[in-house]
Amino acid sequence: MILLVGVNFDKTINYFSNYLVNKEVNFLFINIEDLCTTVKVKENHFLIKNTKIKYEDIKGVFNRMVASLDNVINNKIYMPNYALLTYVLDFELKNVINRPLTTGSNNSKLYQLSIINCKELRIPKCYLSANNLVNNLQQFKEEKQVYKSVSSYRSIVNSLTVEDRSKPITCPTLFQEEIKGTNYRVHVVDENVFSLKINSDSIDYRYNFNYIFREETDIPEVIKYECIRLTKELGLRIAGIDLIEKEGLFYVLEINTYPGYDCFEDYMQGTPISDSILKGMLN
Amino acid sequence: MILVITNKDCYGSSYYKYLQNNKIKSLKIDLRDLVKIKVNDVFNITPLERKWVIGNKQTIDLTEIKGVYHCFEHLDISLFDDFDQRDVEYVREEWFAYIVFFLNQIKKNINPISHKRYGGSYFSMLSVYKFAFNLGFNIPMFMFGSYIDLTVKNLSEYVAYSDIFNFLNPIKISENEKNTSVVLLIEKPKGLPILVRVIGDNITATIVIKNQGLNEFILSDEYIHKFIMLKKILEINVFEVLCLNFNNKLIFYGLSIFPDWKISHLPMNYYWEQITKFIGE
Repeated sequence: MILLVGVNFDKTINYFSNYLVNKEVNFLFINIEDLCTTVKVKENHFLIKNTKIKYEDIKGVFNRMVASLDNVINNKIYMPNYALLTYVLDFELKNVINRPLTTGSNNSKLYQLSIINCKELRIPKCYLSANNLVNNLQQFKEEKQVYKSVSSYRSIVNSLTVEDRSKPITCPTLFQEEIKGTNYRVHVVDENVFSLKINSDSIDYRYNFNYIFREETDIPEVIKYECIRLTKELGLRIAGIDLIEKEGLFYVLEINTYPGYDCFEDYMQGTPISDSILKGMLN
Repeated sequence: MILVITNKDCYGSSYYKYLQNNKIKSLKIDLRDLVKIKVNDVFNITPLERKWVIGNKQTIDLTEIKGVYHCFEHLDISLFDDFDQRDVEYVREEWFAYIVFFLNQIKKNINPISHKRYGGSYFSMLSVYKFAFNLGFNIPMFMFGSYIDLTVKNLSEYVAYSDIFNFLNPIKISENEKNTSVVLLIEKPKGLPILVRVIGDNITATIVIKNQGLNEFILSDEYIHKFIMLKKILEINVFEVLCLNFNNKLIFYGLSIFPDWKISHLPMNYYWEQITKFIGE
């Protein structure tokens, strides 16, 4: 038995479910919203609509406990059960991609960049400011900057404009040197690396509807190994790594611990990422 | 310089007073004020110009901070009363993300807030029991499960929890009421309480004996080794373990990263001295 954990409005979990259906692989989906109702977490089994699923019978798990559920977050019954499910995924089940306890580094981009041990990849210069005016920051006068959230809250990455410089920074904001180069999105699943080169004029290609995905591209072997090593270093089995290449140098921007890989796999030959996840779950 | 971050106190003020009395360079800031400071911080840039401005007058060079004492795990939403309700969650996440980075940049931290601390269940009572059991500690009988049926024979023999991360916060249960938020039942403590305090490699233990007060409890080398191993597994430096001495057996009952230093056969200054040695050197 294969288990998928997440919410049914998550595109990636739906994509992987469809993949499994096409492959005629049996799986079970736990919608974490049902933790208040039809899904019960027990010591050695799940009880799903009165059907007992023993932990020992679950061969692998694809975990996407990423969505924030505003409607249940303060629910007295939901939260303890959510915590229990987290524990079961962390310690009781085998072959979990990814275990919840390995996914937190991305909650602080700056923290994540500070703990990874880069050898071949470079890290952009980072500035953090709060309760300040951009104009007051001496170092900003010399080079172009982009700014974004420090946390994993999704924010649009923007270039710092002349107008922005007079605006107050009311809460911690991450500024990075703007690296004008080619974006790469690299997915690592265990020992496998899948990279896409992304052609886009936009600073944040996710919000540019005219972006063009190029075909799969090979990145240098040393960068591939570095991506595998960093993924392992964080204890992850799947990661979506954002890189920028400029004049032969690769910069790491972020390592996504719950990568929404589906919209990248659409541009690849076949379904290599999904295949690797499935293989990894059955390993 | 040692930074003391207070939060509903948790002995922060007492420790700061010790530092002041001993003329140890230190700075105290409450969490409520911390989220109002002016920050100008950097990473991966030389020279490191890392500064805080507190209350528009006091400028702190962050590179001077060598050690930190703090006692918080998350930022309470009430710290951000000044913000629009729609922005509060975002602002809180941003501050927490920054503080986690900041704390991890300081060499000596009583307890670093690593991603393991806030990403999964590494610090739940269940995982701590698992680690303790694997290290050879005796642990109490416990059971867990959602919507627990409470079919145990004598419910009164158990302590119930709905928050598996907070050993200090049990909830009331009764035979008549099936409390659906209960997820964990732990056998009630039996035996004499022993409070083990770990500060780096310094380990002390206090036994609480009724009518005899607080006395030193001598831990065997074997147990000292187990506590050191537990410290390494949990990647924390300062914590307290409640053990029970029952029929001459030591039972690992619960762990807290916020020790209650007052319950001890040793004066509080002893612990402040040890903490200062640990984070100040």
